[in-house]
Amino acid sequence: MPIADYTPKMLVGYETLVSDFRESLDSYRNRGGYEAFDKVLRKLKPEDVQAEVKSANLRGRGGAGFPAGVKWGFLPKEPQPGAPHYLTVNADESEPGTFNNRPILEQYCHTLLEGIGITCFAIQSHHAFIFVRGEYFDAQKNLNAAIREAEEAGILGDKCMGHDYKLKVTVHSGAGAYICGEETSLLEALEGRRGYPRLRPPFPAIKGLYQCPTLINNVETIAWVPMIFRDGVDEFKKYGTEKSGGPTIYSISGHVKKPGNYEAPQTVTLRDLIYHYAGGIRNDNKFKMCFPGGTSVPLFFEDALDVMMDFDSPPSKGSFLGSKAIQVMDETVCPVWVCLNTMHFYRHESCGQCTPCREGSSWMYKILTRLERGTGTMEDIDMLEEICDKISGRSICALGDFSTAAPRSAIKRLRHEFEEHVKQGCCPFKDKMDWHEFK
Amino acid sequence: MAVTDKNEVKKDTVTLTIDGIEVTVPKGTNLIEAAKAVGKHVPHYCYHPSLSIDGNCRLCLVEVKGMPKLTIGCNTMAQDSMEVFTESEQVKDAQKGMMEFLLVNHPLDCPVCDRGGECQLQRFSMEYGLSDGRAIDSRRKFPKEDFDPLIDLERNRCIVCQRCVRFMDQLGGERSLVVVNRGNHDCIATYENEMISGNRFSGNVVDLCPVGALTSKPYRFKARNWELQQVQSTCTLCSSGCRVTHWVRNGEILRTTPPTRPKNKRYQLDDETMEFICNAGRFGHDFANSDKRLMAPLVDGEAGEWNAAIDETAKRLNSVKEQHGADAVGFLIGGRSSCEEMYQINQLARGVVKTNNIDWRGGLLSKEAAKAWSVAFDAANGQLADPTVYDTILLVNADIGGQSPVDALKIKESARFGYSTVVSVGYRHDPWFANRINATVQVAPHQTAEFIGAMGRILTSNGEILSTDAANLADTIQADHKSMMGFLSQLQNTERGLLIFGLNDLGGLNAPAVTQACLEFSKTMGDRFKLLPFAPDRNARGAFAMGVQPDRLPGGPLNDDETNSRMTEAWRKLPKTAGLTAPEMLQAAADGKLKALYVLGAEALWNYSDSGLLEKALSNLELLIVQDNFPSQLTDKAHIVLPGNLTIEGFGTYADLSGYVIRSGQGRRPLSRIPAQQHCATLGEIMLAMGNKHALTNAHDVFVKVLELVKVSEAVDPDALLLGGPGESAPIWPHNTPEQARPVISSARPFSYYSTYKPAYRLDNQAIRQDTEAKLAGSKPVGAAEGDALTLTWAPVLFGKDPKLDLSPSLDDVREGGEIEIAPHTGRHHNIADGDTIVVSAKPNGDGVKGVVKFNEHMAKDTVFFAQNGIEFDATSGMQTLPAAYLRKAGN
Amino acid sequence: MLVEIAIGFYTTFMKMFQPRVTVLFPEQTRPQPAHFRGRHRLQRYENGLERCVGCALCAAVCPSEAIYIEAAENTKDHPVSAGERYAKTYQIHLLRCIYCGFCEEACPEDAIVMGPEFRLANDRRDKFVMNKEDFIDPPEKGFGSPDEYKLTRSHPEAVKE
Repeated sequence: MPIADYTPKMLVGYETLVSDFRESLDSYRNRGGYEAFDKVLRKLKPEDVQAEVKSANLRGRGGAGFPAGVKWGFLPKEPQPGAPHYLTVNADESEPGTFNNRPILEQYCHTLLEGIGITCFAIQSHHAFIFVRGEYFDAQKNLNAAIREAEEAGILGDKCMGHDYKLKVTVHSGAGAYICGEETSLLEALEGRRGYPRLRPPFPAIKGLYQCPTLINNVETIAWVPMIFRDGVDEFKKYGTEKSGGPTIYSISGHVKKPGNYEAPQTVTLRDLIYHYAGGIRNDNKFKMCFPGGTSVPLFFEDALDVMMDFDSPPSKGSFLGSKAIQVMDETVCPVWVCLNTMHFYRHESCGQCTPCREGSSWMYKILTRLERGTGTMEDIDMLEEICDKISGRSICALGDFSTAAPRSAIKRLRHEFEEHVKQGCCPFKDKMDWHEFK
Repeated sequence: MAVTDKNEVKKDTVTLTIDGIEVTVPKGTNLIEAAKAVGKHVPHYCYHPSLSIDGNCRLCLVEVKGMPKLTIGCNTMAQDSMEVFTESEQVKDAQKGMMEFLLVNHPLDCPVCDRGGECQLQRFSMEYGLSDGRAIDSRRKFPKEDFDPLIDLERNRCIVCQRCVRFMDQLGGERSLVVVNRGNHDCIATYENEMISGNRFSGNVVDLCPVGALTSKPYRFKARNWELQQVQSTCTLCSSGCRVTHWVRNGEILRTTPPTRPKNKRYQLDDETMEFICNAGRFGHDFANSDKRLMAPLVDGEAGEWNAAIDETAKRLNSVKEQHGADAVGFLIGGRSSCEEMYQINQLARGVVKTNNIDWRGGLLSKEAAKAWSVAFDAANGQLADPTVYDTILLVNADIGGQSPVDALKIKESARFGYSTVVSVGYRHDPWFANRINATVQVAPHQTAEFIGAMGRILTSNGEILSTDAANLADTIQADHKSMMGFLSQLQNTERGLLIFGLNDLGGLNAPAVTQACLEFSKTMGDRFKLLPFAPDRNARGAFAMGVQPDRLPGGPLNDDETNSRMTEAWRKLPKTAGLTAPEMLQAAADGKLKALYVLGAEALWNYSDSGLLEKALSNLELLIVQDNFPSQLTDKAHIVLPGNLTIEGFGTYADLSGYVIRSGQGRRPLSRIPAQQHCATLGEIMLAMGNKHALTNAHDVFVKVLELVKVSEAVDPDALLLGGPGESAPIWPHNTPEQARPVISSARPFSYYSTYKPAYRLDNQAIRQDTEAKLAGSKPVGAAEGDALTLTWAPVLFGKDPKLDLSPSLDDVREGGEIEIAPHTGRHHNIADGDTIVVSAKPNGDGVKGVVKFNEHMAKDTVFFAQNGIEFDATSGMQTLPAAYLRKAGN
Repeated sequence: MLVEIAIGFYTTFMKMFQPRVTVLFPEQTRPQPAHFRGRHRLQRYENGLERCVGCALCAAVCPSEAIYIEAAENTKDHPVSAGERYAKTYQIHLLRCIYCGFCEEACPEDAIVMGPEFRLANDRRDKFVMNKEDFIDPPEKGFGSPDEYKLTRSHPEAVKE
């Protein structure tokens, strides 16, 4: 549908928000909130809910884009005694450039809570955890307030909305680790241990939190569930593509005139997002490259500007939608510096459990530092590519692969700029960029 | 293989192809083990068969047809028709990559690293890695911190495989080693730099660590592994009877490790060993290199010549025998001597001197206790070689945790994996052991026998346990009713149980009652509970089999016709008069009736708790002959001292608690400066000098003779004894089940059947007395304390004062038994806090012994416990002679 | 036949007037190539610390097992070598040694080298078992400096982060 005609379904009133705004229960109810939850509890059975979500083609919004309905179906049909089901909402939004979960967590808490309610009913869980990253203090505060509100109103608790269904929601704070956004790391952190990803098999759907079947979904995924049941599957699918239903929230940042969160149908193109929503490149510079979905996915260059930003189109140009965090870079940006910046992040955030990621990210960081300073060699560029090959596919979790995304795509496309660093003995963009040394 | 089958019917196998070779393996086998089965080695660091699977080194990547990425071999279980490639191009590239990554930050420490020559990083980088590393950037560095007296940690070398972390958590039972920091700054640390060697098994992390990050401090820089000779032998410190390998250079034992496999041609530490040894066995071998060793025989304090000494011994023994009769001579032997030495001294006593006064249980205080031991050992039919076969293991007064650490580890592992439910009944439990088994039941010493009896009656009365019965029994020990019901149900549902009962605490005074009760219990339960008496002496079962007791002969009881006729044939006439047990011998010596005492091994009297009587006895003797290797109180008082060989210098066999016999290995021929005389030879030559023409002077010959005369243990193959060490026998440790992909937090804290403080229910009013007049007769239990007095209890611990460990300075910081233990609420009742200095006295506010208090929640009420050979106490401290115990804070 | 004898004597006689090739050792010596393998030398760093860390690689590679080494730990106050480990006992049995130079090739620290000394004659066999004091270079002959990582092991105060 034409983007101009689209009005936000989730971030209602977002443009005119005042600070400290948290949508209250009454305000949410006034626009139809918790009606879907009530309907689900009254009329539907868990398997019906799963079927509807499956038919709505709701894809996981955390980055992998796995069909949510299918994922929900992995859990056992019935909870066994001693092995209750759990829902864990992954609000550990730490992917660089991503802030599209933040409004949901801070402002639209009740949307999330309603989504949690429906999802828990679908997987027959009576306890949900929201794992919020430690730095989002306001989100934790607001969520706790919203939960209190909901419990007082009888929406959560021993008899949800008067029906014979129990639900408790607990907010848990992270402590500053990106790796805890990985689902099994998150479970480890919830259990009070070091956030080391677990080996799979066994999968969390069978042995997750406290070795019980657990569903982990991203905040936004869960937050879209009420719309499916309130407005209907067809209405939901209208805002997406054939294989991926519903609108989504894009975080646009970088060298654009109007950075921010923009809710749009999934039929938008990258060009729309940058030039229509975000107002175009700053100073009207030329577009050089961007990360389409956080720094964990390969870079996009000019030829990808007309790609549709749903889950299935970006792979045709060699990248992924990821966490829908578009970070735009104009012609003043040095690709080596970009890789160094991302590698600084991955090296710092690597949990250190497995060899390739722990050693490889550190090694690549040191090589990139030398390249950026101008003391690198041509072999170093080849070495970077080789290290990337040696890491991907061999680490325990995807962080290893993520760390290789930027260098690989940058060297593949902009190798000549890497070589310029070696030839000139310094960074050619030194005067153009806000260039600084990393520790 | 990674799975132990308990149930034959469930045996299931899968067939897969590895590198083109088809192989059938049990279900649940991972690809590393399956590859081993076809002779392919998949390199790995973090995987270990005894630990949970961690999958973090990423070196064991293999290619499986149908899987898009390489998969790790340790966490991928073999499936039917899988096709696995361990040497494809992709796999080789992955291995080279991982090795290169590991070497990026690994320091060039090989010349100064102790692990050089047996390092898995060296080995795999040569076999599977690149020839040259290409990293030129500087490495990450950690400061060196010294936190443990026995283990050295070099963080720069650590590859964060986390084997040590998992070992200390899962087998060691305490999560003392952890990983701190994140990413490349991951390193191993302890809380506030505390040591990990408070745990008795900490030394094993040195073997497990694949690189030189964790190394043994006592062994630091001593030698390179290729210079050392590996001697397969057995540790002689406790009845766990572990097999060990001594690594010897020039006759000096430089280190001791779990047994290396015979095919270990690389002379490397076995980092995949599935047997573990405790710190005493690992670091306690310094006595073998000690310069305190007695070099020459001493006659009346003067060093002399061997022939002269032996002649003098024979002459004096004959003279005492002629003047006072054969029964004025007594023989004592320590529980750590080999079977051959025991046989020889038995022949000397019965065959030559012609007396039945021979015993090895010098820690006992009464002859009833000795009788109880005989009865107990006769009834032994259980085993601890594989504790997983029992669904319940019930311990009664058996301090396996403090006295036989490795057996305790095996039992605890069986509990951890859920093979057995382990419950311990007693008045004091070793805290490490008690916190890691399923439950402990606190029962005062005077109540134990009755409690067991009542248990037996309830369990077999009606087929169903009445809650009133359970409640009544619970009330006798102030326990919680529901817990007692659970405990009784567990016992009743047991199909294969093991009942281990301890005999050497309280000087054996409680042994008669406990033995009686346990035997009856086993009978009432219809033999569903096998019996295993617990004694911590290395060769306790061997001593029983060799018959070094007044009521036994080699291979049978004294009054048995078959045994008598067999031994009469071997030793000519046998003495007729009844023999004295060890406590009786000491009493007789103190009274002047026993004139001569022949002692073989300081262990014979090390744990005798009545030091006053011992002094008197030794001083009254006309002739004291001590055959031992190191100076002690006994050698100081001896008229003749005859040193001999150590375990590593000769041939010897030993039987462990379950009766399995192992042979010690010979690591050095006695060098000229070390006394060449073997204990067996000395005894044989004394017998020859005393006129017996058929005495044997060679331990090997004695061994052959023993096999002719004695069936050492039903289950043992005599030929296996001659192997002298480990073959490729099946590991005897409880195993990981394949589902344990992630360590589960240590088993739920065991509940204690202990509850609020109330006056104890008493069976009778007898106070515990150590003075000899108040000996308890028959199977009357040890009495309770009167009034405000607490019951004083004691037992030896392995890590306390010990003739061998005292000569090992490496273990100085990890010795045990320095505190007085009381239950927390006993402390509250007396206004004493944990760590206070108190005085324990015989009368309220009287003179007594000072000590530091340690709270132990697994203790019966109104009881005080101390280690009788603890580093702060010993027989001379006078504690055991207190008839009762009154506590008060010191300084009042 | 007399002629041949005469020629023989003549040849021998003429030799008296030809230049001598005999080297009158020990007053005269033959030139020695730089790579000559004589008695071993243990080298030092320029700051006087010994290079040998007692790693025993020379002992391992020696074909005749001529080298015996016992290592020990450096103390902070009086470090002997540049690392944390030094050779407390370093013995070479010079009669077993075949002067192959493998030890020099194997040494990772450039510590053991085969020097030019070949005048090793002695009257007793046991005098050929020489110890470290017989091999170690005087401190003035030290060269090079140990890398910082090694130095920090014996001199932790030298750590510069």
